[in-house]
Amino acid sequence: MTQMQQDPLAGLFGDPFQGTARGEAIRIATEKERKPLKGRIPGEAGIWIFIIGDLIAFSIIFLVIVSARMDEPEVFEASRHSLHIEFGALNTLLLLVGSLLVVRAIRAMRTGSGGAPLLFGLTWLCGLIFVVNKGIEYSMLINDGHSIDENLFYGYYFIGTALHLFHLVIGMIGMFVAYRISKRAVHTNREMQLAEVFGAYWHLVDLLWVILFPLLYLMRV
Amino acid sequence: MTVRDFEPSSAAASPEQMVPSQSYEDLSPAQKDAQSMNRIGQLACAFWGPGMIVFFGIGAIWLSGYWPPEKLPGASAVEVLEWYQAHNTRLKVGLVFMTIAYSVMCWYGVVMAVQTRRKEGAFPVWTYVQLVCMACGTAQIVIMGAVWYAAAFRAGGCSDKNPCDLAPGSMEYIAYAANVQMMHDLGWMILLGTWMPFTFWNWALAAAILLDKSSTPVFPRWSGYLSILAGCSYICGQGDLFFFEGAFGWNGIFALYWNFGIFGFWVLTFAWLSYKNVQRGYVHTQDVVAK
Repeated sequence: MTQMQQDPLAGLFGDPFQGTARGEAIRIATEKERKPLKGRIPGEAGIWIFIIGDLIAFSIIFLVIVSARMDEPEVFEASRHSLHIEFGALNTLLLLVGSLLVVRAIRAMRTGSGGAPLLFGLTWLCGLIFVVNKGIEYSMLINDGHSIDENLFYGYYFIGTALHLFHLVIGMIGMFVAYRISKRAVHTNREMQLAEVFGAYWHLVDLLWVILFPLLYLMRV
Repeated sequence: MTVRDFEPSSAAASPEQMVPSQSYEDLSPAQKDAQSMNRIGQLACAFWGPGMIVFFGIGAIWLSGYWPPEKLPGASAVEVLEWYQAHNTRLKVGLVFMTIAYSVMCWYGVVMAVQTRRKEGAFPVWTYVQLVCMACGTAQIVIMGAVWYAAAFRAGGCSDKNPCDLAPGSMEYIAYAANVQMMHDLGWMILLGTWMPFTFWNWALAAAILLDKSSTPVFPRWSGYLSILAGCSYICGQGDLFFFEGAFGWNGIFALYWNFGIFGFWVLTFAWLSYKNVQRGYVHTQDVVAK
């Protein structure tokens, strides 16, 4: 109870028996109950409904961008060259590294080998650098005189990247929660499941960017 | 104090009391009689989920032709005016059906809030957020109906001081058309651009589902994720503020079809889940009650 008063998040994900004999019994019980890695859905089924729905939505965005590019190839090509590709490339690298760190963090949590909080923290940091990087890129483009209603390319660029940025910020909140969970010595099945849910979500954010980046920055007419 | 499902003994000593959900089949005839009023009420509310879609179909698709929009965001003021004048009476009747569809959303929204209420104690935060956001969203789109009423009224109305025989191309005629176009635009902006109450409503429902740690959840956990997805999807409606064409304009695949498609799917899913809950007897049960 004292721990819950000190830590507002503990009411959501906390384990009031941490460090006690009962806590040890729960740890042993949950380890026995824990399902094998193979032949099961990572996280829980619901997150995959969300991920598939989101992928369908973004797939339509990708098709719309390609279709608009075919209608106005000159506009898209000229606008593409006015983007700052180095920012996009750095962001791609950050998300790929972030995904690798998440995989290592989830594995560290599962095996209990330690280091998971550091890995989740570094992933969160990758997300933060992405946000700062994107902010600088947006401000440079606006200073160059570009805006969302300049043409269809910039309309889709700003909407597509802003929607992705929104996803990323949610992912950062998820990484923070996973970091808080991973700091605990004992993880219940529900907590492990939650960390996996946020891990799967982070991979979605990565995947979306890996497609969005070449569509906007690299694809030639 | 938080009630944890693996520690019922501590729950009994807390200010809140856990009581198990009771199946409808387990109730005595007297208890079934006592619940009948609430049971019918909840079933009626759940029915208005699909009912809302039917009314919307009659009003927006069949009669008025607002959905999908025949006049695109880039149409001129005169084109919009002529569209309103071409089938003015039919459009007005369609608008009445559309507004009924929007109004019954509050019936439908209440049944989900009532269902999730049973998992919250004395201060049902998520229930309140659901109700407030749903009421705001309903008020918003009913007002949208009124804005289009005004556009249809002005486009189709004549009087001694507002003659209908203005010369096309004259300044008075263009100003007249611009007024109608402004109200037409305003309706779309209210319908799609102000998505926030709908998104927060969906997210509050998702929170009520996903934060429930008990072994007898009100709705399945996957429906919580569906609710988050639906809430996120409405954000695409914001595109109507920036685009005169393309996927994010108000006639675009995102701002219009994706938004309405996923909202319709969400409505039907939760109407079905609520109906199943009521059929199973979750009408009067209150799992967490304040002493």
